[in-house]
Amino acid sequence: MTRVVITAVGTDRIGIVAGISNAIARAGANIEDLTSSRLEDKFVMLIVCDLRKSSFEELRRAVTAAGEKLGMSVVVQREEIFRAMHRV
Amino acid sequence: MKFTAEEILETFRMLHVESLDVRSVTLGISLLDCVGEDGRSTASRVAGKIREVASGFVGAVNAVSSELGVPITHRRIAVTPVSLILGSSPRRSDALAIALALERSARDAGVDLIGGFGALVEKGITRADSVLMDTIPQALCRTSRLCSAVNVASTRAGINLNAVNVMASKVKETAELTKKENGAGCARLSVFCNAPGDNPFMAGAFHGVEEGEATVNVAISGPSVIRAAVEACGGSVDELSDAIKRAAFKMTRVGELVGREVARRMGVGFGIVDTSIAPTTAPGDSIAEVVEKMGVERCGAPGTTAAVAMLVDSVKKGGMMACTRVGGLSGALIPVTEDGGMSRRVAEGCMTLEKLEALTSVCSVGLDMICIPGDTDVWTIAGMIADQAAIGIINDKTTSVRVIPVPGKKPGDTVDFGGLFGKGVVVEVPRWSPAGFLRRGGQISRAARSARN
Repeated sequence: MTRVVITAVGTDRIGIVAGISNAIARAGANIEDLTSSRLEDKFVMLIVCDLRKSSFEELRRAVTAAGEKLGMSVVVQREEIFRAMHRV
Repeated sequence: MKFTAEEILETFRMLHVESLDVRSVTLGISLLDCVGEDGRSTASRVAGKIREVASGFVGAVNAVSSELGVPITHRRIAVTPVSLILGSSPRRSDALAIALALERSARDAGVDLIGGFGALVEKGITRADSVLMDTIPQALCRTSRLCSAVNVASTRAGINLNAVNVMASKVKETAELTKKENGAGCARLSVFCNAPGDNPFMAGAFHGVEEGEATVNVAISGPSVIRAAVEACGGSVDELSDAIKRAAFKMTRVGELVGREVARRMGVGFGIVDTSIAPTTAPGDSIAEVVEKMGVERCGAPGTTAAVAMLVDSVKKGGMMACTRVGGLSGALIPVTEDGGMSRRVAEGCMTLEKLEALTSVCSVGLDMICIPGDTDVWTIAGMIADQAAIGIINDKTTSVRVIPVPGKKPGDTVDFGGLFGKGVVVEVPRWSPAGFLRRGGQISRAARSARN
């Protein structure tokens, strides 16, 4: 496992990108790609991370805690699930 | 980005809004090498084998669930039909000792149900089969996780009416022995035709003799995701079928990924993905509600059979495109008490026993989790089993009967089993007896269509 996708969903506010990306950096993971979108009336941040210098659990705990402080719901998933669901 | 925002958000929506999950990861374990000198030694070997193979099972499933972000509802174990390991001098005490060993092993492994306390008697009944079937009521009464499946018919062998009659009496005995729980022991007892050896669903799961040492089989998500796809599609049935296929493809891919990953971590083989959509008691997770979203006013009305046929066929097509190893039952399960919407329609009289029997012809799996009056005659239950088996052998498909003759209850009474097995209303069963026919016993010979050599 080297890559994960982080999906953070919540109300838009100042500091979301900084808060989540700081947590990722502290966990030792590298952001490879980052974009934002909307889900109904919610702000969504989508981040692809390389996990080679971090563990899944460490990253998950770090970004979940950061998300809670920002009022965001954060999901961390291995990229394989997206490949399985969306690529033939 | 490697995946588009739309793709990631679709996954998020399916998981967190439409309740996409994996219904069950079931670890099949062969017990063929566990036959000891007597029941006690066999039971000890069974416990040892399950401990050896399944010790890391729940941990592996939980880790995969966490890393993929996919909820996995059940972790279960299926073993070789126990009649096959009863040895040279089978006794009821041996069978009971093994049943209790399986129960303890399930508890120790952290799984909620363990299947395989059964026999394959579609063509004949050995001494061990007979002992096993006689022990089923006691075994189910003294356990809470053990499940029993007995195969009494197959397209190739026909219907063993003697076995049908025996199993009907065992259903009644099980209900009586568990009458304090409204006959709930019967919720863990299925009588099958064409039972597959790689079915991950309980109560019918067992590890077939054709299987390897240990195998991971997966049952995909319930109807809620399909319901959402149907709800979003306002077009013709062609478009509806496409929408269902697309959703089924994604659900099956998730199931396959989970199954392969759990198997890899445990160092065992990956078996199959069962694409059956199986309901739960959770609101919205109902086959009846899918049918109604398709446009049938009330599930059970004319048009229901066509809607279910199209639904099941579309799920199969999407699932088979997604995964080479599709197996098990792969239909639509309609366990009435476990499906809140279906249970309501039965209570209203819209869905009837006869309509459920008709649905068997287009989906799996027979008369499932249906409460019948406690005073229903054994021959009537035998007739229900024989009818289901007949549909199975002629149409070359799996069918089963899992009915609960609820002690002391009459048509219209409500029964709540609690938790997984749900609740429902006792249905009226025709009182005219098939006894004269079934008492003849013997074998309804193989279906002509099975002679294909």
